[in-house]
Amino acid sequence: MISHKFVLNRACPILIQCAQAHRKPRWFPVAKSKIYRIPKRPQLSEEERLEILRITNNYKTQMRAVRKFYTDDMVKEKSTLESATSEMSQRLEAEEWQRCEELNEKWNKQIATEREERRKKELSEMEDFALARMEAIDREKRERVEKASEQIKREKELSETFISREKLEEAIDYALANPVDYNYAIDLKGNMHTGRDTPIQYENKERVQVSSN
Amino acid sequence: MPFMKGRAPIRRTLNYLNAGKLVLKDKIKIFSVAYNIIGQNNNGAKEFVFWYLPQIQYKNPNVQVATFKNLTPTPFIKCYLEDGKQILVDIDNKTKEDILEHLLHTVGKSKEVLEAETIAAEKKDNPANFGVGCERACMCEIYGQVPCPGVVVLPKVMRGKYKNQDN
Repeated sequence: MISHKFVLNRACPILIQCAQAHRKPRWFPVAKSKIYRIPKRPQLSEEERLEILRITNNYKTQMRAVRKFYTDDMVKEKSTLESATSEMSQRLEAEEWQRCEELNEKWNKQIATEREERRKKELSEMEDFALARMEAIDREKRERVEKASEQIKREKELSETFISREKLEEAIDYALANPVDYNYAIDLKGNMHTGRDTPIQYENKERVQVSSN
Repeated sequence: MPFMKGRAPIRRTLNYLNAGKLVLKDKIKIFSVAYNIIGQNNNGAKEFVFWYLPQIQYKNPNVQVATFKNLTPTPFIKCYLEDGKQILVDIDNKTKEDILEHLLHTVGKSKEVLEAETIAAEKKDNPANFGVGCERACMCEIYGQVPCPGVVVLPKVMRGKYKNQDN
């Protein structure tokens, strides 16, 4: 920067006006003499604070009102413009929608009737199924009763041969009088040889003797 | 989600999603489907949800698509409009194709409207367009293009004054 003195001392003084701000550039650090300086907070009196608050609020309210006025104005203008151009299309759209709704109602009604029919069919099917199941259960019960009664009959018939307390002595006597020997043997031809006292008849006696020795 | 995992991963491909036909009208804000997973009469609704709902959501990003599973006696579709009205579509015992066809005729935009809208969107969206009503007024605003001769004089090789000199 050219100093003021230099300008005055020139042979042909010219006026130079510098457009740049007279301060140090942004990238310069804090000056050494100011490095630990803490600026004092501005002290506002209570009255002054209230006054500033009032003024600020007034300003904000007025600005908001102005902004809103212009916004509303714009919206109104836009809507009138739109309605003028698209009133026809809107009516067309409404008609179209009406048509769609009618179509939908028709479809819904058709489905409702179909569903009623289906429900009736399903109900009758369910009834048939329930009836068939009940019949099957009845049949099974009947069969079980029959089976049981048959078994009882059989058991009754058998019970005549059972040995009761009264018949015990008699049965013992009978058993002692008629001993049964189950100790028998069957040869290859299927003949039964009863009794444990039956003598064994060998074909070759010598062989037996040799084997016994 | 990995690409080829899950049931019918084709549903997640861009080609499939773009092939969706149903674009809902502007006034429809919520699209809800109620269905059960059991029953012959729910099969169409179930398949509709499985196959077509991804496409519908993809094609209508500003519409809320909701499903209500096992909360209804019979399946139905309910659309909620912006003015608070509702439109109910019964889809009991219908195939998914029938349902889609019906929706296309009632709540979907017609083909002509869609075509008009695509043309309008193309004008606005295509960054290659320039002129009145577009993102840029002149091609010369793009870096690397020849500046307008009114602003910067063209190089001499392009100027007729120098190019067509006889002598």
